[in-house]
Amino acid sequence: MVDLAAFMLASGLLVLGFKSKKSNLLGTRVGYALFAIGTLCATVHALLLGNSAVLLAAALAWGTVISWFVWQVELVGAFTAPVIAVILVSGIFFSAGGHGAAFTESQPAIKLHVATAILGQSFAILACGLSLLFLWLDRKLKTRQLGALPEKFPAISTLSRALAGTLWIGFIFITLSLLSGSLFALLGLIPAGTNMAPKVSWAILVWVWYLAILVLRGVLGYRPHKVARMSLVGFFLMAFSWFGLIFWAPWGSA
Amino acid sequence: MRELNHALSASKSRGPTFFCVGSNHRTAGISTRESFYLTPVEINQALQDASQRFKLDELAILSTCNRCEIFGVADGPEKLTPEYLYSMYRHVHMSARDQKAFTSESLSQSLYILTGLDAVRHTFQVAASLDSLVPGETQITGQFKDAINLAKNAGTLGSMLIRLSQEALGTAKKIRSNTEIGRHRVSIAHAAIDLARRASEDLASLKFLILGAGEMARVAAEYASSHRPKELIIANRTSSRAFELCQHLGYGESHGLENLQNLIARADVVITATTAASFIIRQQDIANAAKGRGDGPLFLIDIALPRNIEPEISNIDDVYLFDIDDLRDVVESHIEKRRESLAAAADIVSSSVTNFEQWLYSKDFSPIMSATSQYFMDLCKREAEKTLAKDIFSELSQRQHEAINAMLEAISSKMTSDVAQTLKKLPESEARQLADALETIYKRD
Repeated sequence: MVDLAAFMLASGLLVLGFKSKKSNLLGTRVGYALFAIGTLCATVHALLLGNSAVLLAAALAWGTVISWFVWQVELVGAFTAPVIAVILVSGIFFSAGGHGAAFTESQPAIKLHVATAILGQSFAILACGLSLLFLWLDRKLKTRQLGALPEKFPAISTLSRALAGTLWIGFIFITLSLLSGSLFALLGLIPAGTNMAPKVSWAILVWVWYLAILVLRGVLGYRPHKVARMSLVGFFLMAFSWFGLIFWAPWGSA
Repeated sequence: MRELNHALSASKSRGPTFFCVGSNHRTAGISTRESFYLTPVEINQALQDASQRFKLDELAILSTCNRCEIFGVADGPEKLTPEYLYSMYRHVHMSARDQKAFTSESLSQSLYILTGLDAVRHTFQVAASLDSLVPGETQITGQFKDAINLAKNAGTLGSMLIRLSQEALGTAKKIRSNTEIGRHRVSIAHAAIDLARRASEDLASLKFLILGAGEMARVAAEYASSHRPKELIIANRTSSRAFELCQHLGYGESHGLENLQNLIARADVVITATTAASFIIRQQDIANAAKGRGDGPLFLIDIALPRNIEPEISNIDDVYLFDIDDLRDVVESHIEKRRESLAAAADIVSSSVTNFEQWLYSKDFSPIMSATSQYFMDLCKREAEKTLAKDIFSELSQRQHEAINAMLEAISSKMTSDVAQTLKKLPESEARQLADALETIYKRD
């Protein structure tokens, strides 16, 4: 519960910081500190409980922290902190309803599959956050609302670079999860009686979508704002597989 | 500043008194300021004439497009009446240009008069650009230095004005370092380059194309080159002028406007500042240039009037177009941010004025403190010689002699220091009474 409280408070403070034109507000700094505390608590929580929702929350939190350091896009926390809070809340309900995945009790092969899938999902969520920031900045620049931009808002090329990076990392993890899932199904490691058809279909659809984004960007030279829009659609496909198909899979979305 | 007109603040000190008489953008309209403006040659002549006629050893004139001020040091506050200072102001301008329009009545409408610490404070504010039309602009500090140099060349710069100018420039530097007053750029050309930070935070990673070689283009190119961008291309209809600008910068490459599409294809940021009467960059140019570009954004910043870039270009994906009106809003917001820093800057000025006041104070008392110190030293030395010559001290070693002399010197220094501290702590009138008493007792020569 500490992690949930930390991310809820961080959400409020970082969203306020995002709206503010000044970057050095105390509230924003406290928001970052709470985000860091929440990340550590969620990691411990995930390792102890193994609930897939908490795992996803922890992975997304770490992805956000990595994006701060690698691409200097701190403001993405204003998007991911509320999403993490929602995921943690959803984890409470799924656990209560018996849908929580007992990650810690799974076989190592399943653990690997679940971990790669969750990492892929977390980077897809991160890409969605970066896309929103990119499209917001694009809109403000196109409509020349320069006064509305926070002073330390990332530059548009920084957001574009961070978006491309997260899409690539997410795609690699999604690919690994699909490959590992297929391999373990062939080896008979998936529990008997599991209905895999909808899950696999959606996973392949999501994978194809992200592949299309990367091909269109890399080969056909799609401009960053189109890539941003496509990654938003990718996020919704992913979200449906997480929230929609979770009820069909006995071990959760993974 | 208008409320300062005729605000002749009575200085209590009897010694040298600073004064300032002048006009600025708040007290005088542009036509009046034009008539007050003096060139360096005129200032040189005016300083020499005025210092002789008004018997002033220290005098300087600061003349810019926004102000013309005479500041100097008088023997005491008594003669610094408005009539005297208006007369000086009129004389300075008449001797320089033979102008006859400066009646006392017309001058009283436009001039402000400040004396004593008010004049000191005002000088600090002017040098630090707190009194400027755009607070924090750096030009005035350079103009202030020029004014001091002109006074030096004219032979009207003395120790008091030297100290005043040193303190004023030191205060200006402190304000620039410790507040945000100079942080936000307020010229359109600077704002155009700063806007490129929305394309990439690191300007050194960007490729700039600047079209034009006039004043705006020059300022933009100078500011851009100070960041050592990846590429700086300057293109102008007359390519020789672009070449000259590159040579002046010692950076970048020059071109004509013939291969504009190729140049745009190489750039991340295009700044247009030409005097062309019609658009020189059209939608088709950007569409063609886009084929040769990577996937990075293209910033087009049009600071020319009439505009150089077709407005419809902003419909192209990942191309961001801004014109002079967009930048004007940015500049206005920067000026507002500078104004927000004025309170912090005013605190620094107050602190500097206090320090300067203490320096003036100690300077006033330094002759009597010197005499007092000398008296105590002589007294100790004399009494030591007399006492140590007695027989009972004949067996003292050299080291013991030195130790006793050192002790007496320390007593003398401590007594002098106590007197100095007392003088500093007392109100000025009481301090002066004590100084008079010390002078009577100790300054015998």
